[in-house]
Amino acid sequence: MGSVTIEIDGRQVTVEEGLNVIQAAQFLDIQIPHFCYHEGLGVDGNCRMCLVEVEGMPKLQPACNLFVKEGLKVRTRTPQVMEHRRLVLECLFLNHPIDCSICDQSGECYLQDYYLDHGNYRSRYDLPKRLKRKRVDAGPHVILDAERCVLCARCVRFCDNITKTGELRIVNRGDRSEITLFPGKKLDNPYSLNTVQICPVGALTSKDFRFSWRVWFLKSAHSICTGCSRGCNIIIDHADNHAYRYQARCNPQVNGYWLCDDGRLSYKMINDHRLHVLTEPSGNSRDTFPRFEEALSGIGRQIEGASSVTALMSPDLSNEDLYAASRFAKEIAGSQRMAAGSLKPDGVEDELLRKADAHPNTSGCKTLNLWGDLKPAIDAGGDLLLVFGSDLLQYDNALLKKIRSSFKSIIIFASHEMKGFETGAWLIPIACHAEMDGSFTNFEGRVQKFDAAIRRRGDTLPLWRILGKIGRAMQREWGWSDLAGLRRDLTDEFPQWKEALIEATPSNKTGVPLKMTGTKEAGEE
Amino acid sequence: MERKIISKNFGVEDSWTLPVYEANGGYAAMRKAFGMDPQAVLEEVKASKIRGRGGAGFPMGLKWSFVPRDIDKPKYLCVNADEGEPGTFKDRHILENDPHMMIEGIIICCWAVGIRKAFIYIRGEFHKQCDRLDSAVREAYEKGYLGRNINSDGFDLDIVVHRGAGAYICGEETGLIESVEGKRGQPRMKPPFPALIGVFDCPTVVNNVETLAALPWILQNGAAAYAAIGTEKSSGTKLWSISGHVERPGVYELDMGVPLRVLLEEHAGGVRNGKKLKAVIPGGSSTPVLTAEEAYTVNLDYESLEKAGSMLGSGAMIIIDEETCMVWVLTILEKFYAHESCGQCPPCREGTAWMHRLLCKIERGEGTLEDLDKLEDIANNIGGKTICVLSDAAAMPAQSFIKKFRHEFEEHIKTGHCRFRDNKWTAALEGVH
Repeated sequence: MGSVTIEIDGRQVTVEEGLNVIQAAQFLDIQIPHFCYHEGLGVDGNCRMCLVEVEGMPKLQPACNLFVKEGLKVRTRTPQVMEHRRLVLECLFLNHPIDCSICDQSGECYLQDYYLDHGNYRSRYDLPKRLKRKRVDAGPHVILDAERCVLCARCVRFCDNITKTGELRIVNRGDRSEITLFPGKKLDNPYSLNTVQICPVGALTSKDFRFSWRVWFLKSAHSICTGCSRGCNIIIDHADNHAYRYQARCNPQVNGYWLCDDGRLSYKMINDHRLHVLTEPSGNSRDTFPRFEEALSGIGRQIEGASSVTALMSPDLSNEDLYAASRFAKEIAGSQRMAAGSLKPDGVEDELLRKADAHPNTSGCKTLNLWGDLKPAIDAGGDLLLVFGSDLLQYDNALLKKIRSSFKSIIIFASHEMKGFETGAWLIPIACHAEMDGSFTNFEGRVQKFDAAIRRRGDTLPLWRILGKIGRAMQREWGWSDLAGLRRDLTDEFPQWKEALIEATPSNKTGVPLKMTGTKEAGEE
Repeated sequence: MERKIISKNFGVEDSWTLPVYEANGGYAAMRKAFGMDPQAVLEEVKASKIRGRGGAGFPMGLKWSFVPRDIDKPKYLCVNADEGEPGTFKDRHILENDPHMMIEGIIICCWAVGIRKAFIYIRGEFHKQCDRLDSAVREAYEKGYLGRNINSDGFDLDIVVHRGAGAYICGEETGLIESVEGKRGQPRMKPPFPALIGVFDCPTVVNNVETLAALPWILQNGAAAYAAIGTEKSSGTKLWSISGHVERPGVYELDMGVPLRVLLEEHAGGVRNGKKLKAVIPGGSSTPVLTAEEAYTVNLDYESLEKAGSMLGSGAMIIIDEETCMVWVLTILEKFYAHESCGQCPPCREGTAWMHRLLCKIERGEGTLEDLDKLEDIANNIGGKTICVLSDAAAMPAQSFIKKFRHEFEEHIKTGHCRFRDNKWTAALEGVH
C-alpha cells in the first residue's frame, strides 16, 4: 500500500491508500460528523451527515465514500457544509421525541453532540410528530425505542455482516421507516449488546445498564476482558468504586470493535461475591481479629512450619501475580509441587471472538512454565496447600472434600468468596484485575496490559504485594516495592515479554483505532 | 412529425405475439446483429446518439462502453420496466402491444456487451403487461431466440422476468438492482456505478424498455438514419405520454424536438372542454412545471426543455387547465413522494414528509406565509444531498410550483380557502401510510 497526500481544510496530510476522508481527517484532528459510518461496519452512506466540499465537484460528497487519492482537496467547514449539517439535524429531530432527560444515551449521544456543534437553531417544526414504538423488548439484553432512532442501520448491518444472524430489519418507507425484528425473532445472539454500543443515539439501550447511572458521571479505565482467553480490549466504566459496564475498545488485532455479551456482562464479578476481609481457619474475620499484619505473621509461621507444600495457581491471575506466586512458592514456602491449571469446564467457542478456554491467562501460565495438571498435585496430598486464585476449587464437590482431607492446612489467596472454605482455611483477599495494574497473555501469546479502574476495598491487595508482606513478616528479604521492579525481574527471566511489559506504550494507548498510519505535515491554516 | 418506429405495431391485431411480430419484419435486426462484431454493434448504437428514455437521458452507447470487456465475472442486463413516474405510461404500451420489439432489443444489447443473462424488472401493478411479456419470453425461448446457442455460434442468453412489488424507488437503477437481488428496494450509493458493480456485484447495464425497443430499428436502418431524426443532440423519436386535462390522452410517437404545442393541439386534441391551459408538467411528475406561456413556446427535446428551466424526463406531459388549484396538485405530488421515499437519507425521508404536511396545512386553510417560506427552504435544500435523486424529484415540483404560482399559495393562506374547489377532499390528501 502506498501513501498519498491530500489536503483537508487547507492542511496537508499523508495517509495510507484505502482510507476514506473521515479517517484521514482524524490525523489532522478534524472530526467529520457521521451517524451511519462505522469503521467496523464499512460505508453505507445513508445518514448524509458527513457531506463535505470537494474541489472540482459541484455537489457535496459523502466523506465516508470518498477515498483518498493524490491531490484530493476537501473542505469540511464551509458555509455550505455547515448549512447542510444543520439541515440533516433538523430533519433527524423532526420526529425525535427529544427525551434526553430520561434517555440513557444522554451524554454520549451523537445527536446531542452534533446539535451543539452544528445545530443550535430554534425548531421550525410545529406539526404533530410521527409516533413510533417505544420500549420494545428486542431481546434478552436490548430495548428498542424506535422514536429515538436515526435509521443509520448500524445495528442492522452488525447483525447481517458481523454475527450473520440478521435479526433486524428496517421496515416501511419514508418517515414511517423503523427498525424492527423479524416476526417471532428476538435480538438474541451472543453479541447483541454491541448493537447498543454502536447505536449513535438512544434507540437501542442495554437492559442491564438502563437507568443505572448517568454516563457523564462514569470514569473510564482501559482494561482487558477476563471472560475467556481472547483478551478483548475493553473500557471499564465505573463510578463510586463500582463498575457499571464494559465497553468494547477497538483493537484490530484482537477483538476488532466488538465484545461478546457474556464478556460484556462479566463486569458484575468486579462488584459481586467479593472477598473483602482476611479470614482465619476458625472462620473469624477481621472483625474479631486484631490486626491484619498479625494475621500475616501467623500465616508466615504456618508456612515455615510446613514440611511439604503444594502450590496451585489459577490462570485468572495476571502475569505479574503468577510470577510472584511461583517465586514465593519456590523461594519462601519451598514448595515441592507446583501447578497452574484449571478445573473449570470449557465455554462456548465461535469464529468471531469467544474462545472455549474460559481463562484470560492460560498462555501466561504456559510461558512461565507453570501449566500442569492439578489433580496429581492434589492427590499427592501433604502438609500445606497454597491456593492462588479463587476459581480453582469451585467446580467439583468431591474434589473439595478430598482436598480438605489430604492437606493439614490450607491457605487460599482469593478475590472472591470461596464456597466450601468458609472455615478450615486461611482466606486472604486479593485484588481482581479491575483494581490493579497488570497484564494478561491471550491465547495467541499476546501480552496486554491493563490499568486499575477502581479502588481496592477492605483488606484487598494485589497478590504480589501481599506475598511481599508475608515474606517480610517471615523476616525474609523478598518481594518488590513496585510493579516496575517486579516486571524487571520477570522480564529478566522471560525476555520475550520485555517489549510488551517494559517498552510498549502504556495500556491506554494499545487500542489505537484501525490500521491508520499518517504523518502530519505543517501546512498553512 | 409523427413517425412510427417503436409504435409501428401498436393497434395491429395480436401485435404482441411472435408470429405477428415476425410477419412485420421482427427479429431481422437480431440476425443482422449476430452477423456483426459486438464492438461494431456498440459503435452503431453510439453513432445513433440515442439517449436513455428512462428519464436521465444518458447516452446509451456510452453507458454500454463503461462495462469492462474482459472480466472474469458474469455481466448482466437489467431492463427497467418499473415505469412508476406519475404521468408516464409509454413502457406499458410497449410491454402490452409489442413486447417482442423490446426482447429483440435486449438480445442486441446482450450481444453487443457480452451479456448472457438479462433481468426484466417489471412493475408489480402491470398484470396484463406482465402476462403478455411472460408469453412473449416463452415464445422467444420456444423459437430458439433465447436459451442456449441462439446464434448457432455458441451465444447463450437467458431472460428472467422479475416482478416488482409496488415501489416507485425500484425504478431507480440501484434500487432496482437491490430489489432484483431480493433485498429491500433502496438505492445504493454511487460510486461504484452499476456498470462496474451492479447486480450480485457484477458489471450491469440498466436500460429502459423504450430505449431497448428502439434498437431493432437502429440496427436495421443504420445509425445515421436514426441520428438524422430529431435534433442534433436529441436524436430519434420518442413515445410521449400525455394525460390530464386533455381531449385525447394517450401515447404518441413523435420526433424529438417537436413543439409541445403540436403534440398538445394537433395530436392530443388540445385542452379538454375548450378550457385554457394553465400549466404543463413536461417530463413526468418530478420535472419542474411550465406555465402555459412557456409550454406553448417550448420544443420537446432535452436541450430545449432544459433551457426552459425544466426537463424532458420520461416524456410524460401532464396537462393542467385553468380551473385547477395548483396547491392541490402540488399536495398530491408531494404526498406521492412522501409515500415513496425509501427512508434511507434524512433529508428525503423527513423532508418529503414535512413538505407534504406543510402543504396539507396550507390546503386546509391553516397555513401561514412562514410555512410557505419553510416549504421553499426545504425544497431548496434537500435536493442533491441524498443517495439518489428522489429528493430532487420531490424538490423540483415544489420549487417550481411555488415560484410560478406563488399567488395561488398566498391566496390560500390569506383567504383560508380555495377559489377552485371546496375542501372536502383534503382529508384524503393527508395521512401517508
